[in-house]
Amino acid sequence: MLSLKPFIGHDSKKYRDKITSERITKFCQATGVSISSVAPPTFLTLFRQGELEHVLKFKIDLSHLLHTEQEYEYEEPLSAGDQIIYSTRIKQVLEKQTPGTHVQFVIFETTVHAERLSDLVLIGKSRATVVIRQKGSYD
Amino acid sequence: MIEFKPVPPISQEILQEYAKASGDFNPIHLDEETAKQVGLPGVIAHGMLISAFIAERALEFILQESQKKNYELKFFQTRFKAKVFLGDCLSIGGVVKEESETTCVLELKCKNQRSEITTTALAKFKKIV
Repeated sequence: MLSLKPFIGHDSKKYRDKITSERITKFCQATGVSISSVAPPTFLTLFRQGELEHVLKFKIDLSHLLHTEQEYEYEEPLSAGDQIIYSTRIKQVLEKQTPGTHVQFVIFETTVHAERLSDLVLIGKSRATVVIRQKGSYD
Repeated sequence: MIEFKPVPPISQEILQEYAKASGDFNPIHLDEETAKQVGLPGVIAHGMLISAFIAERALEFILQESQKKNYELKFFQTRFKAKVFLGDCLSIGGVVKEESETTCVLELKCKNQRSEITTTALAKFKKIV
């Protein structure tokens, strides 16, 4: 069973995405929020390709993974028409070994920028804490 | 006090709409059989859907109820404590934890119909200067 501790600081590839008014509208409708051209606070949850890249790379079984906490820091609002670039870092890994079970608490930190004119503007950061439980001991 | 207000009962339709809007098609949120195969009693709601409901309650409180003009959300954290199942009737409320001339921190909870806390949250607002 793989320990992610040696991979603290590893970044995913950079991913690009386009924020359309259609996507914001669908998200607002699905979450009972008034429709606006500005993305609601948890809209950043859509951008998890970086997290997925780490999960696939380290062959983490999704059925052993529990999302326990999510936090966001907001610098600038995200609006329809924005083109974003984001990547995800393995920010922290804490391990706990109990008899027969290995538990890892992993924080994935995603940093999101928007390309506005010739500037790269920091939109914000999201941090997802997941717990990975697996039988056995880590190597 | 942030009065507890209900959200629509959790239905399969709500979960399907959220899956399409968020891109999270994990079958434990959409397919009863898959949920049971991984040991769940049934389909569970996306944690981030509940998080979205809580964020909306926080914004509603600040902008409408507390009438704080020109405040923006700078930090939002949710902790997933208990699973939310189909048919669950949730309500969201809480307290103002801290307040200054330019900041306001809300502590919110989501409870189900059995008064169990499913999710806790912290929302930090700052006055736009």
